Amino acid sequence: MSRLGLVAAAAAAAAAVLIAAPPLLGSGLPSFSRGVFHTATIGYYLETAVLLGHDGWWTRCWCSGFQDLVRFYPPLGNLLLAAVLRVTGSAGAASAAGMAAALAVLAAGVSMAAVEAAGPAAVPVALLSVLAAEAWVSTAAVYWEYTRLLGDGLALAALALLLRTLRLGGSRDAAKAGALAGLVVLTSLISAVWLAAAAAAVFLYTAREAARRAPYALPGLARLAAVYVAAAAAVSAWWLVPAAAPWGLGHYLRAGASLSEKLRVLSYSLSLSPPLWAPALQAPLLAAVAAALISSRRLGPAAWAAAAVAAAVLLYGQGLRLLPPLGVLLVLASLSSLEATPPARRRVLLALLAAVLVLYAARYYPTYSGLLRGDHSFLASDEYRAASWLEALARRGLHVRVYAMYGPRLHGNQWLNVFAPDVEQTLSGFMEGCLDARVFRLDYLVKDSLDYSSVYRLLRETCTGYLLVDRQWLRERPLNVVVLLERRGLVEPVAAVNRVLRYSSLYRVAGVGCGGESEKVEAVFWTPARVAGVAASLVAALVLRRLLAGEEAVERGVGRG
Amino acid sequence: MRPWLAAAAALLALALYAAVARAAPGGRVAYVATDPADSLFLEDGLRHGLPPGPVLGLGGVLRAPRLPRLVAALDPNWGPGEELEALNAFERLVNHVLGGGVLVAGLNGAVAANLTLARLGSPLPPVGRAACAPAPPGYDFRRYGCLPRPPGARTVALSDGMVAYVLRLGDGWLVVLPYNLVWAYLDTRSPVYLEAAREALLLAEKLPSANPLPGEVAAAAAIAAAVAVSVSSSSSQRRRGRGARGAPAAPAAASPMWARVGRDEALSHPVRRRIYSLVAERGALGFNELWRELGVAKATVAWHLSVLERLGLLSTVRYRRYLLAYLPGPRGAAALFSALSSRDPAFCLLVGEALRGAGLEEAARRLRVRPRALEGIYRLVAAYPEEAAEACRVGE
Repeated sequence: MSRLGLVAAAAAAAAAVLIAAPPLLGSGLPSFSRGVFHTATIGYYLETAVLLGHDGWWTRCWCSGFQDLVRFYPPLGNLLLAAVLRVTGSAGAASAAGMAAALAVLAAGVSMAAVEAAGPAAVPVALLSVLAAEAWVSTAAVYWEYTRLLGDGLALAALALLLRTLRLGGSRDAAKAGALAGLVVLTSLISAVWLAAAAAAVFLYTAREAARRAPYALPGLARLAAVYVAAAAAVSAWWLVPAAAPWGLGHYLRAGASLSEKLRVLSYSLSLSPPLWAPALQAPLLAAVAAALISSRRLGPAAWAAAAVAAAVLLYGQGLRLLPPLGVLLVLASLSSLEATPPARRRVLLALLAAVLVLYAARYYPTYSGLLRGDHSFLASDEYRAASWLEALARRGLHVRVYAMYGPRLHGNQWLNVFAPDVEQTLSGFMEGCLDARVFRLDYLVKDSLDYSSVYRLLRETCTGYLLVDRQWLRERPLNVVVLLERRGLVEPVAAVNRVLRYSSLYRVAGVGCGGESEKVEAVFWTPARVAGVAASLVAALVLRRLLAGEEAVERGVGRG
Repeated sequence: MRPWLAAAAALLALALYAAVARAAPGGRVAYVATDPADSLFLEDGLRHGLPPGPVLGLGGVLRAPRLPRLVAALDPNWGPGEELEALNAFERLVNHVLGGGVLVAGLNGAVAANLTLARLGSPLPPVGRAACAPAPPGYDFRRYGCLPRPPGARTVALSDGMVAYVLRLGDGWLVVLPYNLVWAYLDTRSPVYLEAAREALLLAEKLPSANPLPGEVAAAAAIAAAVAVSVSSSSSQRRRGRGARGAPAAPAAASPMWARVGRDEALSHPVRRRIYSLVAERGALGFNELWRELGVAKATVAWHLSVLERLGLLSTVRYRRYLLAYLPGPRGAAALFSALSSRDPAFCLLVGEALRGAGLEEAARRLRVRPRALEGIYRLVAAYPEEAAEACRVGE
């Protein structure tokens, strides 16, 4: 590594430590105002599992156990955290270490992408762009989404490997790049979405170049693409197929903002005091860098990748989440186009860009460093209060489940077991819940129907004795299943708890009283989708092995001739 | 473009951005008003010296693309069915404060903001019906209510014995007037409430930003840099383009993707190394020969051959149905011609036609092949006529 690269790596490591220091040194949970609590949730689950003395990965509060957890949320980040937890024995330490590791991987990924896109001299600038990029710092600080940081870091590294493969590599390199892309899928689906768009754009760019200069190479490029996809599938299909197949990809893609909403968010950037997640620099920086690129005569693969991700921002429902990688891809593409500039002027321009990014960091770092700090605001949350009350019931031997809604304000099912591991949930600790189809049907019927009789029947079948629902959800739907059940006396509000709840209401379901092993909702691990997923991984691995066989022989010097 | 022109363009962009960023809708403060009582209070207040500014309803708060730094929600109210809009509007206002804005809130404004603030872990205390702050004579606590001092807030004394609480939130400030100003004013018509609002707004305007570097400075600098980079790189590209005109195309440097690849890197892959050494050893090789020698898939050979060609280490040419690889330059061309002349007598016919000055179409007709199948080799013969002639003489 060049001296410049070493300085950049040191700066990245220092920044990672700086950003991760507050949660490492502090106490409490991610502040309850700031959305995603994934890190702490996983940590607490695992800690609970150990405490409960099960086989280490199992606790009944997960409804279907750990295999259920890794079914919906990509497992890699969770497993990383679990491993750290095993070593340190502390959920808080595991949470903070996960964040630090994610930041380090992010810095490494950006370095690799910068070297591939624009040469080693661009590393410091690109690193600065990441460390200063509010979008990412806010991802860490506002949402505490360490798995997304980890996924984006891996995705940038995968993109760098792909670029290198298409410049100089062979099938084995394509396999490595594909395997890394598979790891991205196993880490963060959001990162996988933008990587897929960027990788497709890079392949298209290379195909266009090949068609111009050496059309005979197109089958070779197609073979590399096949190797890339096969490797990615071999690594990820075992998880992706059972996660996506039962409900279809539309289930995961339906949530999102409209195009006008996205444009409105970008317009916040022109405000003097924008909200935390939409910094003043975001839109101008994106627009200015895009303008710089458009004025450039020859666009490289990084620019194509950036354009593809920009299209994904507009087309994909949750496209706003792709803005952080889009910003960095644009910066990389812009640096890449600087190669046409004479060296002396290039140095000046790089210094200018770096100065801007330092200004950017100076502007936003104080704000976000203050946010990335745990506190005890969870003690005032409805999730905590409801969980404490339900836990007291559970300790008195009441064997019923609670249906805790994931609503606009209440994130009941994500949090309940963090605070009260012994409370059994109808939905599991995560939105997608059990593999038992009745539970999904119940969730659908509660949220999207007025079929109160079916709901009541399912509540009895699944031993669901309490409903914890979001008050905003209730307000938005004056006529809903809960109201209908209440009018018929099938549920009644629990006044003692509702007095202290602010954005949720707890209802007791009449006539539900069950317990014992026979009435447990059984989880099925080897579902057809899971078998299909494992089979897809095996088939992809076999195809990959076949595709790589010839080239390996040449590497060993055993050619036919 | 000259550097001073680039700098001027950058400065212009900076000025434009600063102008756009500073252009708040119609004044230095925006008022949130929801009913006629609020409007009446504001009308009288503006006559009393409140700074002018646009009046926004709850929907207006949500729709406004930009809010000025200072927003006053003196006593907003909302009716049944409007709770969600109020909640969302105040969520935006709290976000605005966290990002550096200042919200001056009366009692109802503070209650509305508290719906979001409660989730931020810094809830204001509940409204009481007893005296909890100094108030002017005639303020009926039991009727209008009062907000106690929030923990961590600074109390600032206003005239007529009233107070305001100043609380830092994120990068911004929340200034709370703990009174139900509008109701008290409508009942008593006492100007002390208008005066309290005016003083609170003046106080709020003077509160410093938590962050020393305004966001718009960073944004403007980014634009300036990007414009400078853009102008500079496109002008240097134009210069390079002029210099390059007429010269033979350089295979490697043409695409940004392959611009920095060196010879060692290009030969780092075993398949490419083997292709290169085979061609260097034998002068020229057909694609199928390479494939048979290497024992890997045809597609793999094609890919690596294309990489070597793109980087200028090898050249390829089509002759009839065959793709041939050879070393670039006159020696490589000579080796290729020599190999072709020894394998295909028709090649020397083609050379003869080319050296005679016959067109490609005519030569193709005589050899009974499509012109496209000879296009590459025909050009090569035209580029290296001596080597071609030599190869065919040797062949004879």
